[in-house]
Amino acid sequence: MMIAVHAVTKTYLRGRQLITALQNVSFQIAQGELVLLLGPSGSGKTTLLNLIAALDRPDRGEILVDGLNITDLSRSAAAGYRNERVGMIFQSYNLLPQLTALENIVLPLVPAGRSNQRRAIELLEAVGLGDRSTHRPSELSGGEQQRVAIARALVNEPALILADEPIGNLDDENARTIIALLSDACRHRGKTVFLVTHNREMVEAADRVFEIRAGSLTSIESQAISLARQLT
Amino acid sequence: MIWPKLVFGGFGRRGLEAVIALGVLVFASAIVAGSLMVIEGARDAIARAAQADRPDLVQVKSRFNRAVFETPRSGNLPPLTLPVYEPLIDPEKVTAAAADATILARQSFLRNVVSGDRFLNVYIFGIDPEQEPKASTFSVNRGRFLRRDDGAVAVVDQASAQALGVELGGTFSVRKADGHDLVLTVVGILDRLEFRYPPPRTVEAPSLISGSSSVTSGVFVTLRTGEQIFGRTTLTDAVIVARTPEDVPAVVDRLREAFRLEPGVFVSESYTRFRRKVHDFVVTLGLFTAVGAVTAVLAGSFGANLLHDVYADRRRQYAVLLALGFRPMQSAIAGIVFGLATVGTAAVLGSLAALAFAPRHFAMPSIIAELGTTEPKFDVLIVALLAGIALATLALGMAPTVLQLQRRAVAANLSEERG
Repeated sequence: MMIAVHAVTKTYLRGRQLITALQNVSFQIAQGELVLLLGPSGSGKTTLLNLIAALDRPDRGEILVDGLNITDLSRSAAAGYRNERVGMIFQSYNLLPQLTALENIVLPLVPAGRSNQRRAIELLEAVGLGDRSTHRPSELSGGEQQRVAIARALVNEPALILADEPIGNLDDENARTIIALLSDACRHRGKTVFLVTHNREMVEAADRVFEIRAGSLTSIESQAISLARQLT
Repeated sequence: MIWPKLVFGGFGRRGLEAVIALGVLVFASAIVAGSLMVIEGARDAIARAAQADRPDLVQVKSRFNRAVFETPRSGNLPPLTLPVYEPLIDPEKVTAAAADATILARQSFLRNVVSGDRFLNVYIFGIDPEQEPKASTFSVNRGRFLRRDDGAVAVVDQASAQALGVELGGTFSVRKADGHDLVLTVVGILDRLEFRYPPPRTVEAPSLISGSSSVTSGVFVTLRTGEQIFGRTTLTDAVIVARTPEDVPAVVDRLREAFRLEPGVFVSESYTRFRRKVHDFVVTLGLFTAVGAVTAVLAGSFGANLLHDVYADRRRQYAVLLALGFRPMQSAIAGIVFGLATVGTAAVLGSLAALAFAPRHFAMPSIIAELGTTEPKFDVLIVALLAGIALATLALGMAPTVLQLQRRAVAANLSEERG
């Protein structure tokens, strides 16, 4: 899935203060790429992810996903776009507390009336939670909830995976498992993966790395990536 | 199993608020339904009163609104002479006073009629066959009803026909005031008779309703035939049908003025009593509408506020559904079904409570003395009003959440802290 972001600007009104979250951001991601977006807290990473997921609209600029301008979509069409093409991993998991782990994973299949329990169980096992399928989020640790959220993002085989701090709450072993899972989705299944993190340890797995500071995007050159890889 | 959990699961402590909202709405529905049931009962009572009282009618009657005279012509009984009361009602005076109102002129007599080897008392009524059905009900079972141009023919009800021993086409004779007999041919038999303002039943005579103090059976002839029998044109009584009930006071005033020098003529109407019933109805309507409305507004707004809290707490969940690709309508269904289930259950339970505890007969003599006892009624209007209140409560409870979800981006709703 090809993503083209053209001159996107996004501002927020916080109280009476106008906050510029993104300033004239432009970049492209080719199909099958694993792209990392680095940046400190409050730099606009999540905002950019939300715009690509059509969870929000930019003030200016446009975002084309496989030629489709997602900034013009109606709410209903945007929901359809997310359901059919996007797997979203939220920083705060956003699991529904009344559903079990398995039901949370199956949830993205419900709007289209599909039900693929087998695939959901496979994913649950892939993230190391095969024995926790009937547990509710309140009965899982933060890391386990994170892994359920990751499995949920993959269940409907999306062409684009958007991940907001996917390994932020995971221990090293689980983090490696998740990175391997996302890399596998990218390398072997042709998914486009766009990862937002402030953890530079993930640079190793990325094809390209962007850094965002105060709403402005810069691309980190290959040499810098190599250096970062060596450092990690 | 996911949809039931999406709709009804995961309320946490807000579930208690939902239960309280349900309880408040059950209470409100019961009070509103009870109030509306009394109003509907009162509405029914006033409708029945309008039918029974006929506030548009005015009766003019002489002191004895029937002419009684005859001596038995045969039999072994000793001669019996009954007094003759002279009716005093001049039809021309009635016509002049009634103005544009419709006049149902009547002559009624009590006659001894020979039937086989015995005689019996029979009430005979001279009526205008075209006008009289405006006040009375005649149900012809066999034959036909009277026509204005009929001569010596009669329509009798089943009780009088049986007593006289006549069938359709049969004859019987009636002694006229001039001493000659008039032979009447039966052209119709009535199986039901509701004669408005009947004379009192004072002697043994055929009767359709046993034990009634009023005449319920008789022989009906045209007014012209009645005049032949009576030998004069004066009326025993008349019923005036005013164009509208509001015209009645003016008609009554004119009639009383016309007959002010004749103490034996009385003018009566039911309009005044009906107006008092209408006043009682209006008071009942006002009181119980106020009770219902205040309850609906206070309890409804309280319930709506509790529902609002529940929905506000759930707003993030609806945003999560949107973020996962649920269409806005699919996401809304989860909230709407929950709300409909809550307010619908409340309306049904409230209605059942009202039906279970409402008295079969309701009376408040202090304010509805004239209207009397009413029977609280539950009908489709109450169902519609309760449904309207329930939906309004739901709409008020949901509106802020719906507006916020609609106005703000999904991302903004997702980032909102849990309430």
